[in-house]
Amino acid sequence: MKRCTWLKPCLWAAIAALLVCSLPAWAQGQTAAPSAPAAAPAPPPIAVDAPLNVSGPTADDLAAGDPSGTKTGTVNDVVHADPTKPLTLIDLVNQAGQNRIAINFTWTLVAGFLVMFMQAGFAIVETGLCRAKNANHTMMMNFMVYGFGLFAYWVCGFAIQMGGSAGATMLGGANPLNHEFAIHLMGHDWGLWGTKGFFLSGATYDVGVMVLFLFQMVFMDTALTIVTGAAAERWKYVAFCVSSVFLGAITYPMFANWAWGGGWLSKLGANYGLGAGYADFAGSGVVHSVGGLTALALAYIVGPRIGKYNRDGSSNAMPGHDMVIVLTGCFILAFGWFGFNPGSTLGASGALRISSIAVDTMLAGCTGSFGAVLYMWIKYGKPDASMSGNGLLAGLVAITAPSGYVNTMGATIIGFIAGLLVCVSVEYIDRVLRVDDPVGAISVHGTNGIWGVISVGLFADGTNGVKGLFYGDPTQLVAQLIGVATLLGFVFTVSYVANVAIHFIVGQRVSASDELEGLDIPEMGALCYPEFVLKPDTSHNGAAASIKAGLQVARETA
Amino acid sequence: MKLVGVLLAIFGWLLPVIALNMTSSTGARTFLCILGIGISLFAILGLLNKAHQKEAVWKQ
Repeated sequence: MKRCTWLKPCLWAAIAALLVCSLPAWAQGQTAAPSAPAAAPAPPPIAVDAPLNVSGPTADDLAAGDPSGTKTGTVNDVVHADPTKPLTLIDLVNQAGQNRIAINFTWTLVAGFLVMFMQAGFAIVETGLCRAKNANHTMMMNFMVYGFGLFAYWVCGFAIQMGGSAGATMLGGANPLNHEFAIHLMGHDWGLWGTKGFFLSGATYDVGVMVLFLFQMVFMDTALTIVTGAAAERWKYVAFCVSSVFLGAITYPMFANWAWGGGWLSKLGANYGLGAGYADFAGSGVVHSVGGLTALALAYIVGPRIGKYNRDGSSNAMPGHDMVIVLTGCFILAFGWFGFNPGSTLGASGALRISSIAVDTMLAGCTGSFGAVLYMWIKYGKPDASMSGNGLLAGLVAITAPSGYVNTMGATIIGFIAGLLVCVSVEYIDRVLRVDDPVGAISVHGTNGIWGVISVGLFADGTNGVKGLFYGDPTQLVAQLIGVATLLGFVFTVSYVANVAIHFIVGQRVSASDELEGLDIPEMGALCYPEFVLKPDTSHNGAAASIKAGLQVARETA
Repeated sequence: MKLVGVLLAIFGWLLPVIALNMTSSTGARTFLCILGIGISLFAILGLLNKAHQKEAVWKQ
């Protein structure tokens, strides 16, 4: 066989050619692997004022109607800065900002309207728990406290409370509220009161400030209406007017400034390392404790109703005249609390925790009534209706401060303890202290308001910037306890001294004869229930003797 | 007695506030807070209430 002698050199030549050709590719592979990606070219600058080429439904489309809703709320509805020119990116950005603030305005205003409606709940709860002969007087106190409080708050209360708060970012800043009077003491500034916003005049004629005013005003009025319950059935109406104006103008706004308006309590975290400073999300301390402690001061000054206590100091029950409106009022209050707590975010856009706050509020109210029913059932054999209502309110009061900071388990425990606490407190105040509180306002709002403040320092889970003792931060509890000490030492004493002064000027208590007759005619000039036959309650042992003694006092004073 | 009650209630408030600069210990601050609250409660529920009970309508 003849061999191809020319084939072998050709093969070698081909292999060599392949090697030579592949060398550059191999060398390139060796050096290219670790190289960093090339920097992306800078994006072209966005022309925010360049016209956008977008179009919405035409006029003919819209004229045909929009049953499916797809043609409503389109680019056609975006506001143009200059209607004569096409839409630009800056128009869209402004519209987004406007929408966020509009959502927050709407949310806060609606929540404020709900809180305002709580006045009706308080009015009928208190009136139902009083006797029929005082119904007109009790309703009129609850009715007019709204007007007196609003006026006082507009004149100076709002400025003292929020005048140095620097507004709220959720409401667009409200920057005109920008000056806090503070003293420099012990190395720190101690903010005491705001100085902008008197009469809502000047720069505070501002849309954001108006929303803040409305929301804060209805909170303040809640505190005022608490007091009328504890002093009901013997409080002189003129004294009530003066006392309410003072509370709405001075006492409440001062403490509210310290807690919410940029005052010294809110700075305890920054100045002294005490957690996030005094934390009171929706006002267990600011609203309810202030109202409850003022109610205690008033109850001391006006004294118990004639017939409430016997000469040996034992207590007589004085049942209310209408349990239907009492429990209906409790439901109205529970409904209004959905404005009170979730509304305290001051917005929905950027504050989606409103859902968890609402659920916490529901749970604590329910477990509060569970606790009260359980206590009364075990101790007295029956689930008392008025204490069930007070248990619901106690749970709601207690969860008001921690609602923004606790989980559902914490809310449940807080509410249940509040339900037990209100029963114990009512008994202690009635039988041990012998302080007459016809509606249980001191226990519901004072005692459980303080419990709510303390519970923040225990149960706050750290999710929203506040962490309590059970989640590893004992310093928050210290801030809360300082808040409680301030409520007792400042709020109570200011309320007490002011009302003692009012007592000396106009007198706080009606005459004994008026009280025995019922305050509707002597104080209001008309009966609430003209067709009712009103008579003294002599169904309880000792009450008749006390009423006779009261009549004797009435004759002497007459 | 009413004046003493009012002054003592104020003292119970100022005690933990002033103590903020005296110690940085959380335990000590907590103790002083509880002490201050106790003093205020004693003043309000003890002294002031007792003073008002003396002139209570049911004792007359």
